Parts: sequence; structure tokens; C-alpha cells
Amino acid sequence: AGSRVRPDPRWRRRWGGEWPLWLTLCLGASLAVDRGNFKSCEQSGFCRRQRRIQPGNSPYRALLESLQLGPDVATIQLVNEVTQVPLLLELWGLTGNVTRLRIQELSPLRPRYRVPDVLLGDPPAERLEVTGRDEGTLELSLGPGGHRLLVTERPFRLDLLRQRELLCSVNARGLLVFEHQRRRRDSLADKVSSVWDKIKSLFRRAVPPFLTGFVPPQPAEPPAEPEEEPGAWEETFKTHTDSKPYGPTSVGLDFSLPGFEHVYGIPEHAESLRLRPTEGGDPYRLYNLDVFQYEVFTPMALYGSVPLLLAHRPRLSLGIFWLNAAETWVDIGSNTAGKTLFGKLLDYMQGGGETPQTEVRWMSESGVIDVFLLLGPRPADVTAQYGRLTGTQALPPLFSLGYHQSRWNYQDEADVEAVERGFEEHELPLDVLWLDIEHADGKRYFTWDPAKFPNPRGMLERLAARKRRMVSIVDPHIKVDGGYRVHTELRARGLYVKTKDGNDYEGWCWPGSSAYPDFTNPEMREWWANMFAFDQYEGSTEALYTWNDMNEPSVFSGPEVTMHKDARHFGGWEHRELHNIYGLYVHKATAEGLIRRSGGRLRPFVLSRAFFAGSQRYGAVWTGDNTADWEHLRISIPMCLSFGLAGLAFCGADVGGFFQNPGPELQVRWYQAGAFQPFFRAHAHLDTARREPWLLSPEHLALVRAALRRRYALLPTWYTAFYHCHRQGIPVMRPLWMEFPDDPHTFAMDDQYLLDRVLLVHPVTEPGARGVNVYLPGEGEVWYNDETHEQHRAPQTLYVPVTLSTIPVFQRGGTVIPRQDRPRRSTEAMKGDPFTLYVALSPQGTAQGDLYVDDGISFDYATKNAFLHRHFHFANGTLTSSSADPRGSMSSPAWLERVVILGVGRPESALLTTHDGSQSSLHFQHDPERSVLTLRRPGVPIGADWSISLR
Amino acid sequence: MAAARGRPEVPPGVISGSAVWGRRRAREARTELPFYDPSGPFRCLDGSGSVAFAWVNDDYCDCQDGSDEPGTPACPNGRFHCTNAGHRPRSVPAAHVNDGVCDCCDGTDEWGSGACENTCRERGRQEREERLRSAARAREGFALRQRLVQEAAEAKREKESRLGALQAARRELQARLGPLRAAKEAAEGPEREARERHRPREPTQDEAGAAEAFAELDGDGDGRLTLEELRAHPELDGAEIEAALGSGGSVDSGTFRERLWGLVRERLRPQDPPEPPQTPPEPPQSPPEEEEEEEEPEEEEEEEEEDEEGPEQVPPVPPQEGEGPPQEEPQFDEATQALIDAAQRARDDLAAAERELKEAEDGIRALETELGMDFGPEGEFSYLYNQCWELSTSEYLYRLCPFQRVTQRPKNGGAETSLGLWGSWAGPEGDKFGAQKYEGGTGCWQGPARATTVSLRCGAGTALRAALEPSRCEYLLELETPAACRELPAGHEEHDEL
Repeated sequence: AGSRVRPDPRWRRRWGGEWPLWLTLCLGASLAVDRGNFKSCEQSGFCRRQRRIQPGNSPYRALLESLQLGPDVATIQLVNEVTQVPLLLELWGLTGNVTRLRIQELSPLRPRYRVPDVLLGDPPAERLEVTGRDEGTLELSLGPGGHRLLVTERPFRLDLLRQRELLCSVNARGLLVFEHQRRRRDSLADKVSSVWDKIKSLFRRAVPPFLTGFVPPQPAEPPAEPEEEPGAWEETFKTHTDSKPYGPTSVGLDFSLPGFEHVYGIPEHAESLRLRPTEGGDPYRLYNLDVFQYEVFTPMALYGSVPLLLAHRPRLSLGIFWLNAAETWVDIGSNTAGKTLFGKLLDYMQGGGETPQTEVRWMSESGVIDVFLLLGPRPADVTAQYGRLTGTQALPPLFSLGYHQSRWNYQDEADVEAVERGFEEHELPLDVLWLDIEHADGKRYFTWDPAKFPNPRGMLERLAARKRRMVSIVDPHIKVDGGYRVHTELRARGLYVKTKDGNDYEGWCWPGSSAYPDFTNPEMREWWANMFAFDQYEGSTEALYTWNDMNEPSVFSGPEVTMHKDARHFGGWEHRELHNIYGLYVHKATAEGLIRRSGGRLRPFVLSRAFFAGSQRYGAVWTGDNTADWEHLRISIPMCLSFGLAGLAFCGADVGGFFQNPGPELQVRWYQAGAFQPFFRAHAHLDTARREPWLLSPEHLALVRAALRRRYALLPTWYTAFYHCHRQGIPVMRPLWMEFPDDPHTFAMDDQYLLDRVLLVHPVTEPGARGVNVYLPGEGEVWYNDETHEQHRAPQTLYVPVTLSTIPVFQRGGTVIPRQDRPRRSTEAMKGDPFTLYVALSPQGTAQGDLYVDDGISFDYATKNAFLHRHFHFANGTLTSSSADPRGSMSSPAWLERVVILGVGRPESALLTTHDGSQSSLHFQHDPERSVLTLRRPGVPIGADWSISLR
Repeated sequence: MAAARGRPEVPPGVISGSAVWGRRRAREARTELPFYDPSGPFRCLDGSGSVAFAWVNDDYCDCQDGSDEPGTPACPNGRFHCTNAGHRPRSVPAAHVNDGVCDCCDGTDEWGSGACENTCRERGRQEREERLRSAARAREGFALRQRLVQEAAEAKREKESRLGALQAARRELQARLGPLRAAKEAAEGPEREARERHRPREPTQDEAGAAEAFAELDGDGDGRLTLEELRAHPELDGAEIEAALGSGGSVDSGTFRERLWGLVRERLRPQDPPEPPQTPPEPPQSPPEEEEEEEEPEEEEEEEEEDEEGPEQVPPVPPQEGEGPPQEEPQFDEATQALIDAAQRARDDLAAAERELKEAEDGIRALETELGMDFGPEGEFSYLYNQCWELSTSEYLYRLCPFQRVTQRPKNGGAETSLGLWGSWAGPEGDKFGAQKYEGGTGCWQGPARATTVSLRCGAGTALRAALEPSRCEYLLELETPAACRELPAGHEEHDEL
């Protein structure tokens, strides 16, 4: 579902009445985003104000003498020498190579929003020490990692070093902005005197205890308040006015990254993996928005936001996590942008060229400056550091890694039955069928249309009997309807978001006039979670899971199709202060509800469109309402790679494309690509033609079936990859540079990627393709074609001829992947199936890999250690299975069906030794042409220790 | 030892040849059974290889065709055969073996867990009953169909003969038209001349006033106005009036108008304006005749309900008129009147003949269209022509007029939408008459014109059973009709392959 505004006259009837003006305005019949509906930086007051500030003239001074060294934190006052407004800088050296810095007003008129519920807790800190001091500079050591921080007094600046290497500088360009809070004044004279009063009062107020003893410098004269430009106290965009009762409150800061030319992250943008310099255009925008028919390669905001940016160069990766939930813009500057490779080479040879450097500038509309510098040094260290702060991807229930079939809308129970039968008849695996908004009674979520779904429980039971499940949509906008229990209760309990005047905030959405539950309120989330109890959500069963759409939140009648910034939330916060985290709270409350309905036993599955830092803890996300064209197929790869770098490993794009109709070639290619992306769901707009796979020609259908079966065969590898991600925070779908961090060839690649560390995938994304160029990285390594088992030396760019049936996938030499090759109807039907190990030898004749198995559905893996984590190791002609984690144990009926060893000669014999020492000889086949050895039926339980020796 | 290797043992019954792979379809079993001979190695049925018999059904796929694993899920392309005693034998993908889903009614596909009950007998019974019911329906439907075929044949004959009659009538009318036109021309010449001669001056308002005044003044109504009668009106007293009355002392109305009216008018009707010069009013144009399509009476009734789109609102037809002006014909002398009457008769005769011809042509066109339609191999669908059926769903009222159009109207009001006009028969190959296609309905936003497929299904009555919109703007209706019934072979119900 999505921003599905449709000027079909029927909708006028369904909504009753005439088109509201806003709707008429935002309708473009052409298939392109209407940019006029969304703000540019110039139209966003604080972005315009901040961007106008030129680098090099920072008014901030660090009052080094104010340094206070607590057990964990060091505090230093900063003062703006123009306004004399003091700020407080706090510094932490966190364990695991993370440095945190926070800047706030020393004594704000009104508290500022500090984003709660994102960090897992107070991250443990190292002890800080002052290791050096001279006039104008202070040196702090940040714990045992060897990191040092230089604090420069005037202008204020931070330089972060590891040994003698400069990693990152803060405010080096002097773009620190902190619009201190002030009272509204009608005249300049008023302004000046009031500020003077304020400054005086500031210092009369309670000074934090750690500051006692320090006497702040008294300003010699009333500071001059900068002339306030129009828009500071009220902004209008199109027909909407933002009342801005607290005036300008934005914050901003710049970071210089010497030696870096490649930066990534800050999803969600329909953009290449590597971020581009933003000079001459708009900065990248982070502001969760429901964008109708978005286009690719723009810095425009989309449905979700994670303010995490990564930078990479050989031997060093860094991350900058800007913990702020307000509207945020990010400028990327590069001193090498626009230079040709030759130009850079010339610089290098002449020795006169500057070091390449990337500048990153963050600007947020409100809140505080709270930054985590993730210091790597390797790519996987950065993602792990981020995972320790905000949590890692929830381990998905196994079924959710299978194939999902969705459409807006499967119309009724008979339709659901017929579609599922289609999967049976055509022997296509399927795990989940989805119901979009039309299933509910008048878009009253938690209900069913009584005419179309009179017996949802029976429908769910029939699906469950065939080992399948269903997802229904539950959106956060609630129909304003006195006969709808959800509405009457929320209204009575006062749990809706309020307008600036204190009334329930109402806007227009799918059901017509709608109100918006205040998910930032814990009581609201509690209430919502309880709605998923089987006796509350009537007709639901354990087989029903949830989809949260429109949770940016989408408000058709609001500014930029979202909520007014001056709307009020729990605790009196303005919507502007927390906009980007609203969707996370919806996701969180829903996931909590699904856990709760099972008595805390079963893992939830919830798909969300909006997200923020930490959303990975609650389930899956997808790239929203894409379009059935080739460039949207292509962009799904960098988008999901960016999501993964920002922790959101469970990412997918609507297979086939949401808007418009894909041709058969595009549809087949999209299934092939989707089969190798984490969240694998076909979905389509209401106005599109039906596109269940069997509506294709038999030839195309066979290709879709083959892609689906490849997905299912690799599910053990997928699940194991998700386990790695869940434990270590490393993405499932990885950019090549994460595994080959010293190979600059890989730094900008986003048409191919790695699944875990084992498979290299290069989907075909061009119409009529005859071949693709696949880059196989790794000095002295080999790769094996996953289908033909042909062996290729690396590094090289390999031209792979393709037909419509080809999905170019390569297994990395030196790895072992587990598969389950029996083509079952669903993941649950594969439970207990035997495994095949594909052992791809390195040139040194070694390989290793692992397999994670649990019950696929419960929390027992975490609460009872009910899991198997096996380690496979091949060296010296012997393949050994041992426990990778002695904590885990579980009985499993699964056994080892087959071992396929790639890149090995024909042995004389293959001897299996089981854990009790008994030995038996295995039958085998050897293909000398491809050097593939297939060991027949070792038959050992998958959880056992064993070894197989080739002689 | 298999059990130690963590997999369930394939039960002996499955391997022993009788329960599963030994009883494929009866014919195959006879030919395949000898290949599963435990006394020697097993040759894959496709000849691709040979394995020890112990490897048959050992849950590992050795043969490319999957034939070594007829009882296990080991082979991706394997099939598992359920005998389903009491019901119908069935072959399921090998991957459905031991997957926790009961696929075979005898439960044999889940031999690993034994979790599935044998429901074949019950299902067989249900299916037999359903078969009986559906066979009864089919027979009833087929009998109706045969009647429809007969009626269609009769109706066709009747229509053909009506067509023949109409064609004859058309020929005859066409032959008559020439003479009638000539007669009309012939009669109109003298009429025109006579009218010209006798064209009475159009009585002007002034003349009418004079006549009215004359009648008013002519107290005794004898058609002559005398001095006494004039003197009864004191306002007319005057020497010039008496002089104008002349020596005769009385005047008739003509003389009154010529000599006296000018003198009398002012006095008698002082408020009357002087008469403007008058031109005779144009005779109103008679509207062009509407081409009315012939409609079944019930059709018309229903059309009338459709306020907005009811296309055939009958405009009020003005009374048929001759070519003359609408006013009362002036009085003619007898001879002239006779000529006029004769010409009018000739005109009426021609118009009647032309009307009859048009009716005949309309009838011929309609009959030719209908007779040209493909109503199925035996015309069994012809009864659907010129009728409509409706189906009400929760949101819409669907209306199918077979061979003509499909429409949809929202129940909560709003305009009717065309879901397509008759296109063609569109059943799958071998069953052309199983479905109809209607195309070119109202266009969709960002999409094609609406289109409908009507699938026809055997039933004892005629009714719309389902209306779906599987894709946006692509509709699917299901029409139950005896015409879609096929003859069942004798003894169909009893024939028990279960």
C-alpha cells in the first residue's frame, strides 16, 4: 500500500463527497513525483538559514578552563562569542571504539528533545584522561583503543586521532550552529533587552553541580541579537502554516573526514550506494514522507530515516551517528568531486594535490547535537558498533524469509483461496499471503469486511493447514467514527496526537477523516499492543501477522503529506521534534503486540514502511511504492545495501514494481533479483493487471519457479546470515567493500553484492541482456559459479553470458554453504529436511562455514539456548563438523543428505567418522571436468560431530 | 543404520511394492512393477543408471528421473502415487511426502508421521453424492438445452419466414413507391394551380376586425347592415357614415369592409392600435423523424428506470401533418377542395408506404443481425438474445444483456459504467462457447477500457452467479445456463472410478 492517490471517480464516491482541494492539487496524472509537494532546502527555513552560513568563521570558543572530568564524561563549556550564549559540550569515550559528543544549551528556556528509546541503554564508557594541555588546546585520551581527542579553544574544534593518524575533525569548517531559544520580540530594542535579561537570568539559575567553582565570563555588554529573518517564528508552505511557537531552534555541525572519498548510508534515498556530493543541489534530506511515485537518483526524503553515515577508505571505516529525530538535511562535500581520475593522478604525481577529503554537514530543525563517532576500523566493526548502540536486526521467524505474495487487494476469501490454489497447482513455494487495506471494514483496521471476509478464522486455519500464513495491514490512522471501538476508546482515553490548540489532531487518510494515535506515549503503545490479543483482534490467529503502512505518518491533507509540525505529543513535545521516530514507535508497539499475544513465546513479524535508527529491532522494512520499470529494479540493490549498512538488514523492494505493469521479462528478472534480497515479496497497485506467476507464459512461469526454488534451497544460508546479523550487527546483504575493504575497485559498486560473506550476486537488471560483467574480487582467490560450479580466478572482471534463466551467483572459494534442496511448498514444510553442504575450496584447499538452526519461530533460541550452531571446516582433505557455540543444543531430525565439494580431485575413498568413532565408507561421484565431488548420503544427524576424510 | 542417521524409516509397506510404487495407475503398475525387483540391481526407469536395490526408497535421489524414490521426497522431480482406495488415485509431487500436509486422502503421503487419517471413503461418498447431484443438474440442464435447441430452431425458422415475408413486403413496397410518387406528383400539380387561383387573401387582423365589427353591428344577423342597425350604436352617429352607407341603405360585409370600416374603426375600437403590416407566420417545421430502435417491451421498462443514461427517451411526436400551413384551411370551392383532397390522399398514401418500407427494413436489419449471430453449434444460446440478467453484490448491480453489453451501477447511487460491448466467443480451445468477451467499456484511469469475460456454466436455470473484478477494470461474470450443459454418457453416475 502506499501513497496511492487515485483520481478515479469511484474514489470520490468511496470517500463520499467532493475532492478536497489538497487532493486535487497533489494529483499528477503523469507517472512522476510531484516535487512541488515537498520542500527544497530553500523552502525549509532552518536549512536555508544554515546553508547560508559560510565556513571559516565559527563564533564558538571552547572554555577549556571549564573542563570537568567525571568518571565517564568530560564536560566543557562553549560560548558563542557573538551572542554570548553558552553551550555545554559533553564527551564520552565508549567501549568498543566509539566516541560520543553531545552539545546542548547550558540552560535552555524550554527543555530540548533528546531522542529516547533508540539506544539500548547507557552505553558503557571508558575512563577519560587529560593527556596533554597547552595554550588553546586540550588533549584527552579515550580509553584503551589508542584514540585521542584534541579540543581546540578558538575557534572551537575537535580532532580525533588514532595514534598519529587524524580520523575526523569536528567543526573544522566552523559550521557549528545552535539556534538558542529566545522569546519572541516585536521590536529590536525589545529583543536586545530581553536577551540581556535572559543571559543574566541564565547565570542566576542553578548551575550544574560539576560547574560549581567555575565562574563564567560575564558578557561586557548586551549581545547583539542577530536580525531575525522572516520565517523564524512562522513558516508557510503551500497552503499550510507552521506556527513555530518556540521560534528557530535548529542545530548543525560539520565533520571533516581526511583521506575519505566514499561515504554511504543515511537511508532512505532512492540513490546509488555511494553518496554523491551535494554542492549545487539540495542536501540529502531525512524526513519520513509518503512520496507518491518517487523517482530514482534524487536526494529527496522518502519513507524512513536513519541518521547514520559511513565513510570508508582502505584500512579504515568510520561511522557518524547523528541521534536526532527532527527534520534533518545532510550536505556532502568533496574536494575531489568533479576531478577526473587523471586529474587526481596528476595531483598525486606532482605531490601538490590536496589529500582527498570528504566534508559532512548535518542540520536538524530542533533537538540537541548528539553524535556517536564509530571508529571502526574495519567495516564490520562500524556496523557492530552501531548494533551495540541501537540493537541489531531481530532474528526473523524462518517463514518470513520465504516468499510473500501480496497485492492491493486480494478481494475476498474466495480470491485468497484461489491464489493459494494457484501456488499449489503450479508447484510454486509460498509462505505468506497478504491483505491490503480493502480487507478491513471501511478501512477500520482490526476489523474485516463482513461481506468479503465473513470467516477470517476459517481462512487462516485453511492456510495454516498447508503450512502457510497471512499478513493483514494495520495502519496507524484511525477512522473518526463514533461506531468504531478503536476510535471511541482512543478518544476517550485522550491517546490521540493533539493539535497545537489541544484538540485531537485529525487529517485525511484512507478511511476519510482520521485521527492519529500518539505512539510516543507508552500508554498508547501498551493499549495498541493489547489490541493484537486474539480476543481483541477478532478473527486473528497465530497464523496472522502484521503490516504497518503509512506510518511516516501519512496525512493526505497535511503539509508534505504528513503531520503538522506544531501538533502536540505526549510530554508536550512538538511533532517537529520527533517526527522521524513516530514510525518506529508504531512498529515497536505492533511487534510488542504480536509477542504478547503468544505469551512472550513467539517471534513477531511486522513489516513497516517508515523507520528510524533502531527499527531493525522490530522487524522488516521495504522500499515503499516503487514502479515497474528497470531503473526501480536496479535501485532496489543500492537501497537495500544502504538499509543494511544502517542496521536494517531485513529489506526488500516490491517484486514486479508497485505502480504500473511489468512486462514478462522485467517480472522474471525481478523475481530473480528478489530471490536474492532479504525480504522477498511481490506486491502490486490496485490499478495494475493481475500478475500471479502462472499468468505468465509457461516458459516465464518456469523461470519464476526456478528462482523461487533457488531461494528456498538457500534458506539455511539466509537464516544463518540473519543469525550472524542478529548477533554481530553485520548486514546480510553486504557491499563488496565490507569483505574486500582494501580493494578500491569495489568502493562504488552497487550492481553486485555479497550475501553474507559467501555468495556474490549480480542480478541481471537490463532488458534484453546477453551478458553481464561481474567483478570477482580478492587477490589470489577463486569463485565458483553457483549453478555450473565452474571455477574462476580472482581478481578479474568476468563477462558472464546470460539467458533469461541466468542469475549470476558465485560462491566464494574457501566457504561452506548449507542448503536444503527439496522443493517444498513452504519453509515450514521443509522443517526436518536433510541438508546438503556445498564446500567450495580455496586455492589452498581449505574452506569453512557454518549453519544455524533453531525451531524457526520461538524465542527459545534466546531464552533456552535451543539452537544448533555448527561449524564446518575443510583442511588437509578432511571436512569436520563441530559446534560453533557450545551453549546451544537442540534435537533435530535433520540429517546430512549430501556433501558437494567444489575444486577437488578424485579421491580413492571417502571415510565418514561419527562422534562415537565408528567409521563407514561413503559412495561418491566425481566430475573431473569441473572438479566436483559429490559424497552420497553421509546420513549423520545435522547436530552431531563428525568428519569425512578424502584419501 | 538408518534410524541412527536421524531419519524415519520408510515403512516396509511402502517399500514392499504393494502400497505405493507398486500401485501406480493400473496400467503403469503392470509395466513398472517388474522393474522393482528386489532380487537384482534397480535400473532407473529412464535408463539413465542402475543402483543397488537397497538404494530404492532410501531417501536419497540416485536416478535423474526420480524413479528410485517412488516413496520418499528425495527427488525434486519425483512423483508419489496414492492409491486412495475408496476415492480417486492421485499422483502428487514427491516434495509433498512427509511435509506435514495431508495431500492424499488415504494419508499415505505422510507415512513418516502417520498424522493423516484415511478420509478416502468419506470423501468418496461425498464426491459420489456431489456427482449424483451435479449429474442430475446436468441432465436436467441438458434436457432444457435440448428444448432450447428445438425452440431455437423453431424460432429461427419463424424468424427466417418473417424475414422472407418482410423481404417480400419490401419488394412490393419498393415497387409501389414509384407509382405512388407519380400519383402524388400528378395530383399535386392541379392542386397547386387551383390553390393559386383560389388562394384567399389571408384574412388580416384588420379584416378579421372588420368581420367581427360587422357581425357585432349586424343586429338581426341577416348579413346585411342597415342604417337602423348602425343607429343602434350612438358612437357611430355621423353624416359621413350614413353617406358611406350609400343609396342602398344597407351593405354586405365586403362592402362594409371596403367603405365603412375605415370610418367606423376609430370610433368603435378607440384603443386598438393601427394594424401593422402583416406577414403570414411560417408554418412550424415538423421535426425529422426519429429512428427508433426496436426494443423488447421489458427492456424499455427497465431502461426507463435508468434516469441518466436511458438513451432512448422518446420525444413527443408531433401530429402528422400535410405540407400545408397549420391553420384551418380556408374554405375553397368544391372543385378546388376536391383537387386538394385528392392530392392529400396521394401524399398520405406515399407516406404510409414509405413508413411501411422503413419498418420492413428495420425488421429485416434486426432479423438479419440476429440470424447472423453465432448462437452456438445448435443455436442453443439464442434465447439469451434480447434479454438481460442482473446480479447484486455488496457494492454494485451488474447487468448482462448477452450478445449486447455488460454494465455496472453502484448501489449507493451514481452513474452506470459500461463494462464492455459484445465482442466474441472467447472460450479456451476446444470449448469456444465456454466464455464470452465484452470489450471497449468505459476507460480506466491510467489504464485500458473496461472489459468483461462471461464464463458460461451448466445449470438448470439461467442466472448470473458471480461478478468479480480480478484485476482493475477486468471483470469476470459467471452465467449459469442450460445452454452450456453437455450430454452425459449413459450410466455416468454409476461409473465409479473411485
